[in-house]
Amino acid sequence: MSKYTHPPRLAGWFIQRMFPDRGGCSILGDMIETYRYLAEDLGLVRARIWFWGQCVKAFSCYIIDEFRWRIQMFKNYILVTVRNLKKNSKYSLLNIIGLAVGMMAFILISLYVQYELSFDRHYEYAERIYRVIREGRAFTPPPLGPELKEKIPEVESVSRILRSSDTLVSHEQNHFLEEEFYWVDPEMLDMFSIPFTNGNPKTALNGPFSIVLSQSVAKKYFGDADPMGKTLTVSERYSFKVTGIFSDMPAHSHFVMDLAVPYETYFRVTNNDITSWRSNFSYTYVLLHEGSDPQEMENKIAPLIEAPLFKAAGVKEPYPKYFFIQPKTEIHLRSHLEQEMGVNNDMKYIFLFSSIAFLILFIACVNYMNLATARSLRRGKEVGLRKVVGAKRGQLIAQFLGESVAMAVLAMIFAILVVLAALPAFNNLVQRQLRLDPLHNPQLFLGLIFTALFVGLFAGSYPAMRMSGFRPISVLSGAFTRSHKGSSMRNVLVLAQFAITIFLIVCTIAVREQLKFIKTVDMGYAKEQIMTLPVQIGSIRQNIQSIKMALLQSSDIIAVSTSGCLPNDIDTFTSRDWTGRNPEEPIPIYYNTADYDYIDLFGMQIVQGRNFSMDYPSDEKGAFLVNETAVKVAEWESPIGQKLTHWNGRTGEIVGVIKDFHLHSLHRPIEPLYVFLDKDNFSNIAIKIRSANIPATIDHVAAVMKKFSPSYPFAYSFFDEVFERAYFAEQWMGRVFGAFAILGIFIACLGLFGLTTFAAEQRTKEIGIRKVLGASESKIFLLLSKEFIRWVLLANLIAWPLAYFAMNKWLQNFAYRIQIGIVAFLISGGTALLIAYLTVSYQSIKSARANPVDSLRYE
Amino acid sequence: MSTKFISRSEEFLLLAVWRLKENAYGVTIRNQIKEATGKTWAYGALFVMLSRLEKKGYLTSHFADPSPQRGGKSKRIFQLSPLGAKALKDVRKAQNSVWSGIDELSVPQE
Repeated sequence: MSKYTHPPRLAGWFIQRMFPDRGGCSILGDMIETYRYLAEDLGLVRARIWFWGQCVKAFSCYIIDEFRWRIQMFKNYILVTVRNLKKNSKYSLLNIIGLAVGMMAFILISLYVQYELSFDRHYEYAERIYRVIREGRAFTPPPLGPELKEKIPEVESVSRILRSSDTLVSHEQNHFLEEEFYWVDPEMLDMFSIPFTNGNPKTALNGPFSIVLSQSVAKKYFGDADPMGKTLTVSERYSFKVTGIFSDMPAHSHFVMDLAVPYETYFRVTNNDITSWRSNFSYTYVLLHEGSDPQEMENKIAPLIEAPLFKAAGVKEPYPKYFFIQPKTEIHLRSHLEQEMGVNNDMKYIFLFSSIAFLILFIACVNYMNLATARSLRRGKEVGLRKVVGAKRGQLIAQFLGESVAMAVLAMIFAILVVLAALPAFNNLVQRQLRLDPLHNPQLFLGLIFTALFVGLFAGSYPAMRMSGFRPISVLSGAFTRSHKGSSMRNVLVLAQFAITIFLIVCTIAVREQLKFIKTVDMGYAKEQIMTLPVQIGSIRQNIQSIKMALLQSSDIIAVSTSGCLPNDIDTFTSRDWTGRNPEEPIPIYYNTADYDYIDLFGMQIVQGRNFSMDYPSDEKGAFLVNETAVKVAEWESPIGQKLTHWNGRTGEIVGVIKDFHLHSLHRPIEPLYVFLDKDNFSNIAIKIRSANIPATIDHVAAVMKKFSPSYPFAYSFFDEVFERAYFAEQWMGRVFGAFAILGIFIACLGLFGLTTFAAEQRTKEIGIRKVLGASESKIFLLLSKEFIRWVLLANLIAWPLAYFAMNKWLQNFAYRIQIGIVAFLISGGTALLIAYLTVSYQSIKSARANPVDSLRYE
Repeated sequence: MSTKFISRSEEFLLLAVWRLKENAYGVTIRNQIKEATGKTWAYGALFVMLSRLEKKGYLTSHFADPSPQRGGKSKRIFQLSPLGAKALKDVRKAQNSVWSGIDELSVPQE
């Protein structure tokens, strides 16, 4: 056995770390000596075991020893923290409120963002489901699904989904218009892991007239009775047997299905051709095999499916790319196609709100830094004394960081309480059902704890570094009263706070201006005093002429019109060719169907030719109106008399040109449109009413509808409300911006208030002397306030260009938009300045008016 | 004025250091304790206690030259300080007076 056997190095290293012993580490020496002795005596293995055992024991001794001393210090720290909180309760309160408000905003936005990001992720196969789309459009033709399944090996299963909203469903005396009514392939239930409570999802939709319901819908129709095997009548004509019940789909899905019936049945009952590649009104979803590459799958669509089709249609190569796929999980935030199932959110907004959340939190942190540093001078003596009795800088930093973390945790508790109280209001604002529930949302809770710690450490870092750096000699000798070094940093922080706040105000104003513009701009059609009724069923369609007559009997009803689409959102789309055009390049064009009264009721203007008219019996056979954009795109010199063919094959002449109106929201430019005269097929009834006796008029309409279609559940909206719904996202954004701008200002003011109070306090003597020497109150006021005001002014200069840039970018979303005027900037700057001034002036006036005797007498 | 007495283990340690004279360092102190009380102390515990006693002023220490059989580490030689000696005497005195008159420890039987 070698005399110089070395003990386990790692254990030795630990010992050395734990007991450095002024660099000598005698304990290690002692242990090595014993170890060598043991090694010779008992053998190397046992000696090593012994050494490790000693190491472990030493560790426990070390911990106990360290802890014993730390606890003493810790007690003192807590004592000092609590004392400080009490002694400076005003500052502490300002600080905690500031942090709490910031955190509240942060929690609310985090909840929202987390919810939005969770969309469509709860399905078992969520990551493998893709939606097949066309360029810019979500609808795909019905034969595509089976083709994909047959020809592309990556595809495990396919489901087509067709949504028909406003579908009338009845069971005995219960009639409801169902918004979320879907025609789906039987595979869909399994693919979307629809959780069945009754029935078998694999077979439930195999029978052509079977229907599956969500639990709440089943309850609506059948109450507590067992719905299985019962019958539901759809559109007054078709009976479907209930074969399955599923738990309600969670709201964070891009569509929430309430009722589902087999897809193919739709084509049977409507006599549509399920093999037509031209019928674009349903969606196609594919489930890919595990591990397959979606990009590769997408690439296979072109050669295997598109090419044969183009070839058959006689299109020359190269063929354009026609079908694309998109992951289902990205639909809610990243897909902005036409023909989407519902209103999708936008990743941009998610980024925007996340940044606002962080900005607000940042402002709050800055606030803390500001107040804490300002206050630090008061604690200079404490720091000095601690240093004199031997505190190391690290210990002081730990102490101050500990204090700020304690503050942050307090603020977080406060914020959570406020959030719990404010959540219903916030839910209303964002139209979501968010919950702050630690059981269902452990990540968020961990996140909040982390946030509190982070805010504490971040906000506390600067004051801690500064305070711990005080030199005891200068603090204790009293020479240390006013530091210029610190004040410049504080001013920069005020600058940052106000810049962010002003930025938010400008954004709020710009969004509001744009919304006002949307409301007041001439859309080209009338919006006021128009009632609209959704209609999908035969009994109303057949009797529409009598219904119109009956409605018009009321003197408060001016006009009644039926149409396929309301003018604010014409989403039916086709491509047409016409004489004189290359038939291979059909023009994409929107279309609408309407009756004789449509144009007049909505107050549209005919600029050329005439409206549909009963004076021209030929109109009945087929007549078209086009808008000015269509004329331009088609390059007609004289559009009147041109022949057109409707998508269903009926032909007719263009009888007039409608002055361009906004057939979509203002996000989009005006696109070509034709209106085809069709009195029999419609989905909406629009009723122009007088502003007097509205309740009576509604009753009258309800009575008429009831008379002609007893089972029709009477549902109406006012057109101006329908119109505004299209701008929900913007209105919402305007409100959220406004709310957070107010929060930002609030926090910034808290900070400013604290700072002025502090500055005034510090300069009490200076002010006293100035007053004794003859300074006027207004001079003193100016002296105290000008410093901060200067920084707020400068903040404007920083915030304006940023806000201008950001808002311009946002306005790009609109084809028709406002110019951000200088007024918005002046208002926001003025507001910030005014608020800052008011905040500062309270304290400034107070100290300016103070009697110098009071401030100077204790000298 | 009341004297704060040192603890029993402190007493053992101080006595061990005193007995060992110039040769009082970790290994010998530990052996001494083992001989006297039969208990084997972990080096960690020993070190912590010795440092505490030094901090309290009962012991002083200096580093001897490092030696190869100790892996190049120095011995830390401890010495009893006058304060330590006084503390030992105090505790001895107190002990004597508390125990005085007890020749044979007899526990009352039930």
